[in-house]
Amino acid sequence: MNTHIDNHPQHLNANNTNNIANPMTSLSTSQSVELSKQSPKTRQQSSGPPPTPPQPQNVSSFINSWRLWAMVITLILLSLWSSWALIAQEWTRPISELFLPSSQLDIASMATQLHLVATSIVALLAGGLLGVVSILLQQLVKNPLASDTTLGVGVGAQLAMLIVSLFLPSLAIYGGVYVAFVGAIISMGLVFALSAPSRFNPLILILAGLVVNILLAAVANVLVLFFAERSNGMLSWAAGFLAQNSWSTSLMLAITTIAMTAVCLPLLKPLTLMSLDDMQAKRLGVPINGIRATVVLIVAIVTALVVSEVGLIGFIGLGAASLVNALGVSSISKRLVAAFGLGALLLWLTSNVALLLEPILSMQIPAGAMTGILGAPLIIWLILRQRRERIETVIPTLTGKNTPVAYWRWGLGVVVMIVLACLFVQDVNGWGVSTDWAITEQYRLPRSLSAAATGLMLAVAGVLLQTLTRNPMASPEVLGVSSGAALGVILGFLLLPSLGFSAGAGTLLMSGLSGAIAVLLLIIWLARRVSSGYLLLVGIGIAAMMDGVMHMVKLSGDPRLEAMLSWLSGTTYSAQPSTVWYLIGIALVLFALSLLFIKPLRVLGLGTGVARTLGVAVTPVTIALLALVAALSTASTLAVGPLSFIGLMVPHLATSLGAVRLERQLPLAALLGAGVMVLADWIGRYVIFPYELPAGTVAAIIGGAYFLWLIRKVPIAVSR
Amino acid sequence: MFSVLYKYKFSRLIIKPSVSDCFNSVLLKRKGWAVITALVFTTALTACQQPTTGQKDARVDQPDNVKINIASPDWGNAATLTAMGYPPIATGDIRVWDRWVGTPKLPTSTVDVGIRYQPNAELIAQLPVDMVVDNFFYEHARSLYGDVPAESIMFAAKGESATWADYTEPTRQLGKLIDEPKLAEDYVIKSHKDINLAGARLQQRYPNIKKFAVVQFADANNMRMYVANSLFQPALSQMQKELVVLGLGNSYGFVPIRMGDLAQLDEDVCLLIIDPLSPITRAEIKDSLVWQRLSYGNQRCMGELPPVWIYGGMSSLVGLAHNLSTVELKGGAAS
Repeated sequence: MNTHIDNHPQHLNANNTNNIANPMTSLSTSQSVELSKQSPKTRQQSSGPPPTPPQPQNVSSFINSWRLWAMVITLILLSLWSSWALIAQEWTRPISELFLPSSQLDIASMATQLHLVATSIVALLAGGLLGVVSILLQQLVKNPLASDTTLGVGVGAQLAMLIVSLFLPSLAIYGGVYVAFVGAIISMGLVFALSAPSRFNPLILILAGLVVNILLAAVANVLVLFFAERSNGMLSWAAGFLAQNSWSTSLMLAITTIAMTAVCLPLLKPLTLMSLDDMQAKRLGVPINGIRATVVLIVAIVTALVVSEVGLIGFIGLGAASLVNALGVSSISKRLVAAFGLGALLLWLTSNVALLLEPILSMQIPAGAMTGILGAPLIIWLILRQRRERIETVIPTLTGKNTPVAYWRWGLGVVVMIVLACLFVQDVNGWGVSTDWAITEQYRLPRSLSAAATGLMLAVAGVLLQTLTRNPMASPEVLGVSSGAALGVILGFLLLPSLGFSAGAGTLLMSGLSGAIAVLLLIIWLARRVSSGYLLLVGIGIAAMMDGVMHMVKLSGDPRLEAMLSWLSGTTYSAQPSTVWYLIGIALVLFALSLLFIKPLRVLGLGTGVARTLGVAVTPVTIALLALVAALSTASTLAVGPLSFIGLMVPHLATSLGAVRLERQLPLAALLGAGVMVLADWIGRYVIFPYELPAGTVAAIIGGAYFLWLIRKVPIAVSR
Repeated sequence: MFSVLYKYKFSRLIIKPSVSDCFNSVLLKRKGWAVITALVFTTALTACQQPTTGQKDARVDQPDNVKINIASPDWGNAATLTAMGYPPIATGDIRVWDRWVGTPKLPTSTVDVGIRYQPNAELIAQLPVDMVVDNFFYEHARSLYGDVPAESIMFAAKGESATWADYTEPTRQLGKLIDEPKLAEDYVIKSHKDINLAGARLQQRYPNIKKFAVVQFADANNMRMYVANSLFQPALSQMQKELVVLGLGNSYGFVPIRMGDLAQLDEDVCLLIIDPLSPITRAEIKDSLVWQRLSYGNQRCMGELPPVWIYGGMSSLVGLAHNLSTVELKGGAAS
């Protein structure tokens, strides 16, 4: 059904492009419209906003903006209070001495001074710079959700630094900024290339950023695992510790801020003009492409500078930019200044809180991890604010010819693959053909079978989700359920022993399930309030939260948690001959259930309005489908750990092989998912035998590479 | 489903004794020697019964020149066994052994079973493991080895301060486990002699330096300082030196400190930095204002030691002593 889109969504799309072209005005119009109407549910934005005259400020809008300003003031007060608390905790001398030149203090006091003052300055400047970068990005792609995190700029810089640090450490020390710059440009280019065919549709853009984030993080993971001998010390740099030892970083960031101000001043006017409309700006003589390229360069340079100095700090830019949007600041110069200030405050507050928590948790807490943990509530809040924007379009990124599919051939292929995976193995003597049935039955076969079952479940979940949200980039991990399950397991592992329970297999299962159910409930609650497209962003937030928690886990250094870390990357290590059959049973049952849903799902794919007229109960079916997707991803997460990309790419793979209609796509995707996972698992197990690459990481790399190849096949006349 | 514990089934290739050969050899004896025949028959049968790796209870006493195959995921035990001349057949994380442990070098016959805390189950199933020597950190993976006896040997301080006995005791226990107590005793005596020699050499090279503080950098700002319940205490006290500490450590033997805390050390305390130290961290330390003020390498004495496995056994002690005796100290009382 994905290709036979009739004219209706194209009409929607054309209007949505207009919608997107006026982010500031549409946001403020939507805000004022939202504020003045008492029944927001009846508001239909799907026909595009008519040019609205500026609404008079009435009482409710005044209260709302007052609320926002109150929040900003609270932010300022919290930052000041936390830094005061920090100073009281660490600095025993009079406050005035905190600002003496370093050489006049004795060593211990100087160290504390650096720890407090230099760290604060770095936090303020880095946060401010990231906020400004995000605002610039939002101007660029005209999307209120763009930022350095969601567009994958920082992760590219970090990966480049990691590669160079592993193989050319001297270059990393002296040329770190240039390396990071190249990395940032490459990853940004990837994201833009992925979303360009759909004309930078906001959701596609964000999801492209997610894809790039996952892919590059997987590559970084593989490198660290491959070259374990050399990656000592990488971890703490990558986590985003802000604590300072000298003034050099503060100086560097201060210079960057001044330079950036100087560079942005001449750009203000063109940017203001470009925010109206591309055609109008061109007529007014603005060199659009030149300005765009300049902005991209600035963004890349500044992000590279920040990342190379302090590591990856996520979500501060998004938070600052979204606060600026919420405050309704419209003039570009004021936006930049406000973003700088808000970003500075946010990061300063986070850094202070991290430092205050250190003695309590008796371990170093990186500010970069804390921002990840704060990112999820921020995104959810952002989505709730954004829910006026209904993005109902679907942009098919891949069309295939509707050809008959010979299932039995694919099924046979999967079986053959499993057999081969059990035969060509490495053992004590190196590579060879395995003839030992006992070991195969005990260790190899359960793992391959478990990989197949998980691949099947995730692929089915991906097909269901993509058809439900009519978005080609949806997938179960993006929904956040697998991250929720993983979070549940981590927290259970950490907290249950102190509560008196033993952290065994059964209790961890329960905690994982409860995490997944919590996320599912959140999604169901949100599903009634926002368009299903935006649900996918909840997953980004939750995945970021899990990332932050994982970082803290890694840094705590507890050796038992190391075993958990590989599970978190998705591995079949814990597959046992007895339980794998249960897993296969569950997979087949859920698959059969999903087959039952094909008919209503096809109708839902035409649009909720059409579906309702055709007699499909939209909300119950949607909720049932979401529950099914959650069950599928929870089962696979608990067995194998959170996996990426299978649910994202296998449906497209199925479509490209000719299974265009849903009835064909679902079974074929199931078979392909099983096959791909078996392959990924086999590669992960034997490529650095006896060490292992997590199957999830290998699948993410295969999927990412496939996605890059996919871009070439995008049809040109997609969304005119 | 989420479980690292494996249920192990008996799946070894059972070496079928060629019973028929044994019978033939017995029946060829003449009838007159009935008693002798009966005796020989009985002994022949028992000799034919090759122990399968799974049936440890029925194990016959190994003749003296057959080694017990020990799998030892714990590096301290593996290193001490290797230094005693009885290397284990398997241990974990061998690819980073050189970076973190250094000496002794493992023989090439030792099999790498992957990550120590999560060893490769299918590889272990193919190894003829007779005994597992580890400690409570690795208990969760014990079931991977099947029904072999698992012994827990831990080289750690029993009290607040680590003593020489904390290292000789487990060594002797290891010797008992491998049925070679003399090997262990010889090794203990040799180690004692080596450490004393090392102490004398150090005294000769740097007679003025009496106090040491030992740190390992996690990054430029955060480091671990090793305290009295780590292996540095017995090593240094055996060499007649003093270990200076800044506070009470945790059960792993260190206290996390920041760069600025080093200012609390006296001027005559020599700082020892344990490798590995990545080049990036090295550069960052050099750039640090605090480090420059502390002036280690100029006004204060400092030195860099090759890697030593902090949780290691007697072999770590000996290696550490040897490295200390050959270390290059710079600055302060050393020049």
